[in-house]
Amino acid sequence: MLAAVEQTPPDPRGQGRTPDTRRPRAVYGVGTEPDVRFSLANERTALAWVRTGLALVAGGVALSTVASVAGLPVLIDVVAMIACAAGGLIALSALASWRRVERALRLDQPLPPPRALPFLAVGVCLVGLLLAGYAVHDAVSRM
Amino acid sequence: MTGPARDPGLQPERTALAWQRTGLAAAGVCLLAGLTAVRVGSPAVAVGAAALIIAAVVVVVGQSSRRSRTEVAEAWPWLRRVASVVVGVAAVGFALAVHRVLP
Repeated sequence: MLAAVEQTPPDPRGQGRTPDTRRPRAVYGVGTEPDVRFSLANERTALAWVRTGLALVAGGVALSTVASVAGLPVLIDVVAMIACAAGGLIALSALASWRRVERALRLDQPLPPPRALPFLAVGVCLVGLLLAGYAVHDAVSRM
Repeated sequence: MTGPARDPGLQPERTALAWQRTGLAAAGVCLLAGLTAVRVGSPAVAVGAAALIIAAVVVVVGQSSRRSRTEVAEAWPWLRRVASVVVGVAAVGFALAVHRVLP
């Protein structure tokens, strides 16, 4: 005879055999299991954001390589630093976004908009403008 | 409700391919960062990049074994790992650029 009632976590898969212990609890501890296809789509979206961050990092590393090979001014390395930092931040935002959307799917709420999108657009524009400014300056100084 | 047994939209397969794309791209960028580190003359950073390549390969291999079933398995740990690899390469790239700015 149990001395206390054993608390079992919610079992949304309905199997009744093993309780759902998936992490993070902030996501899997609420709501019910959504359609598998929505979860997979959320996963693919998170991976797309990760690849976007990776592309920025790749651009930063490439700029760093070119700057060291061609002996370009320090500005190019500063742009490389900005690109790498932005890429890392976007990869982290992919994780936060996945959690938010998976929670909304489980609770049957409207999906939240992608918060990183304006930052991505601003970051890419900033890097582009800095590089364009450097190119113009370099061309003018050679005339 | 767990959805149809065989998804005509091929979502599990598409997701597996997305993981492969991401893991391979991460390994490629780690390789580039490692080569740049060697060229710039920073072998310590190159070792870090090599470790990240191994991590990216682990992600690709681990994901391909996970996707042998159509059921949705644990996404979060693997998402965390691949995002960590990207943050790691970002740190390596940042260090390479800083290496030139502050010699």
